[in-house]
Amino acid sequence: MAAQAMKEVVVYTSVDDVFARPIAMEFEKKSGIKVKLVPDTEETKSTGLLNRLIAEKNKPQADVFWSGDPVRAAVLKKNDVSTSYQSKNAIGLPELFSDSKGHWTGFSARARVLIYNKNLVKAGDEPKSVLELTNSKFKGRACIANPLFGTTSMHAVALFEVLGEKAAKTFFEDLLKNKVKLLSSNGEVRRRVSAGDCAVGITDTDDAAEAIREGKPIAVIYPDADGMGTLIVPNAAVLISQAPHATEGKLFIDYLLSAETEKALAESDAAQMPVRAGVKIPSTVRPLNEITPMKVNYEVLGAELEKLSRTYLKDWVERMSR
Amino acid sequence: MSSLLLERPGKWRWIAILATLSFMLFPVAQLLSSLQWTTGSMPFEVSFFRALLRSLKVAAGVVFVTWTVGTAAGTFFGLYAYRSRKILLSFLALPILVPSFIGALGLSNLRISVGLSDSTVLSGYWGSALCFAFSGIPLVTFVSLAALRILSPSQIQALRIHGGERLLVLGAIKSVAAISLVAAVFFGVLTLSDPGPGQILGFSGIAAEILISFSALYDFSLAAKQCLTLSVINLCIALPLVFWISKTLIYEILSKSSGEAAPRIETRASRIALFLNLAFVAICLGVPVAGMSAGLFRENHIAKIIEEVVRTIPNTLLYGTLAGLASTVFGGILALSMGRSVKLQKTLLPLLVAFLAFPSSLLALGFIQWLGLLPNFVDPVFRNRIFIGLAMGIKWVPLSTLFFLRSFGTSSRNWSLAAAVHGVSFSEYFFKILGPWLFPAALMAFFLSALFSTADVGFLLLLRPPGEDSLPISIFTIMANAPEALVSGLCLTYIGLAAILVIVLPKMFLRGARS
Repeated sequence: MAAQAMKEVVVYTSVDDVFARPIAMEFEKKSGIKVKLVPDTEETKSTGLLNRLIAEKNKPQADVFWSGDPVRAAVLKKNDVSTSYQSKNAIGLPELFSDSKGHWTGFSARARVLIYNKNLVKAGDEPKSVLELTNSKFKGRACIANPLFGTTSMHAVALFEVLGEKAAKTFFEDLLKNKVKLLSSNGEVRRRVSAGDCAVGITDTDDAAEAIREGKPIAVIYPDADGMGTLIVPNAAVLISQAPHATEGKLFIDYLLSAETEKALAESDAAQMPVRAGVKIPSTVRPLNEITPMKVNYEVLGAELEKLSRTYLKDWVERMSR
Repeated sequence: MSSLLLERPGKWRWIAILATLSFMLFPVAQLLSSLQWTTGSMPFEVSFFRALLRSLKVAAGVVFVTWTVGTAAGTFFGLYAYRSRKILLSFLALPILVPSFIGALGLSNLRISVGLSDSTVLSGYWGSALCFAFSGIPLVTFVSLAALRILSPSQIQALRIHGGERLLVLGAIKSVAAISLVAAVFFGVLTLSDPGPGQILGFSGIAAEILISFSALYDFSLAAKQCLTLSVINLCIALPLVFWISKTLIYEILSKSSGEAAPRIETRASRIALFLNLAFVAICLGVPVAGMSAGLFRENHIAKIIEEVVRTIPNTLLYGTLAGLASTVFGGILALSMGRSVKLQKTLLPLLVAFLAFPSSLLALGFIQWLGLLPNFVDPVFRNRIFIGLAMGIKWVPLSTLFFLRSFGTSSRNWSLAAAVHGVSFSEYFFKILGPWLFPAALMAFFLSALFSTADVGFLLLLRPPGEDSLPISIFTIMANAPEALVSGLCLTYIGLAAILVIVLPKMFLRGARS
């Protein structure tokens, strides 16, 4: 990439700062374009970069939104915050993970996994499906993050799409009866299961990888391999409509979508799975082709999520909080 | 201009008050004007009121505990001297100055590291109340300590002679109880709009309900309506309270300077005060710090911690300084405009209480909407760190106003009369007489507003210019997924930096507190 002194690109990201910043710095080094990173967390504690992007719609400061999941990207598209951009580096990336109109392009992915504390769950008793959290042997011992936020919200709406409304509602009601613990974030799920406060929980692969790296007594299960499959959560690169530095923004997106970035994210502590074929990955990262993926339409999840969040999920969370 | 200006009625008072309030309420007005009141979601759902009730229960518990404990402790700390009093009081100030989410993280870490289940008092309703009490008790303690100045040395002596230390303590508690109740209610109101501890400790209150509307449903309109409803409810709480205690409150605000009674050594009472101070520091500061320390040594992240601190400290200081400056200037204008007018104070104090309850993120959203309407060429002025830092201070104007009101109330009308008789101009009177008198209060207002603004991440999270993070923002954005040792290290660094500030400036701090 040619050096472009004095230029800059403003990147808002819901990807954790510890994972996004090294990628941004690498781009800065290679392109000479200064990256102004505005990180956020997709957890419940966030008041939301997405809100900021929507509020700044008429006069944006951001050029790119690097989303940790495609659902938030879909919300931006719906609110006319994003614009279409077909990167040359999108070649080789599965179309399944991207918007058909080019408003967001999916790359490196995480997966929604079950983690359990090996000191609390005997061998053979470990859950194989997320639906097993309603099993009485995990009564009061399982935890999930708030399904109104982050990847858990995407997981919830995916379950509604795959299982159907009736079965999905039964699942959530059974979780309630089984006294599942409702936590603030996937990181909190990791913390509680690692500490033995809960025996089992649902979280993201990067959280699970972090716990394993810290030497916590947990094991990971890619759930529903024989059934509905594991939900894959790709990152999404979004070009902001009327971006002040659109050219630099496009270059940054090109960089995000490159095989180099997928490799770097796989090698980082986030342990993300490249979605394009042929990227070398460490042994600690499971290749995407070894996972049974949940068959969902990522484009419709965003709209469904909004509907579900306002109705059933909000009511469910309210009943959990009483 | 006559030096009597600040003692006489005049139209300028209303003009200054309206101008200041307009500036303070402008982001809220901007947001409200964009709402569609006849369509869209309304906040009056059962879940909203259930959440409100839960939050009110926590707030009521916090108000009761902070008021009873803080008033008694502040009285003891003010009346009695004991070993290392200044340094121990400085340490007690720290829990007020760190973000509430850091305290909650510490409490949560501690609970997990000692193996307690999440049904104990360290989580949920009780955990949230406890976490808020960690900073509320010191706050009310300091307000009570400062309010003790209402008793003159001769009054203290008279009480002592008449009924000994017991009567003195009871009498002192009685005389500071009203002002400390206001502080406790102020703090209780603040807890309503703070979602941090509840989210971390598993309690879902009204702040979480607003956060859901804001961050999960992306419904600004609903969130703003809920905030407005909350503010009206706060007003309903504040109004009767302020009217009920107005006589005492106004008396305290307007009380004359009566000299300062030095704390005295009384063997038994001094021991009690020392024990209380040590216990408060151990509980309010020690518990969260112990929780943080539990995860600190699992990995070595010193290089990353230093890198983050170096990257964010200049902005942290800049934002804090500017916010403190804005809060102090506007608070001073508002207080001097109210002056000694009981009517103005009765009218405005409840409004200021309600304003404090408006969540920072909604104020920020109002600013964002306004900034979006401005022409591009003014962006360098309004979208830079300086303007954002100044705007951060708006939320804390009520706090500064109280400090100035109290300080102005303890000044004598005779000073301005004497100055007028001798033909001293207003500017000379202000800069040579009144200004120096108000200076400790201004310093205290500046200091506290700066630290409170820095600790309040809601505003800056939405408005910080790209790439210009503060340290609390940095901690907030990484705390969910970064290694525990890194998060703990950054939190302890923040507490350490706040400690250095408080310990370096202890004399200034205590002098300001007494004002």
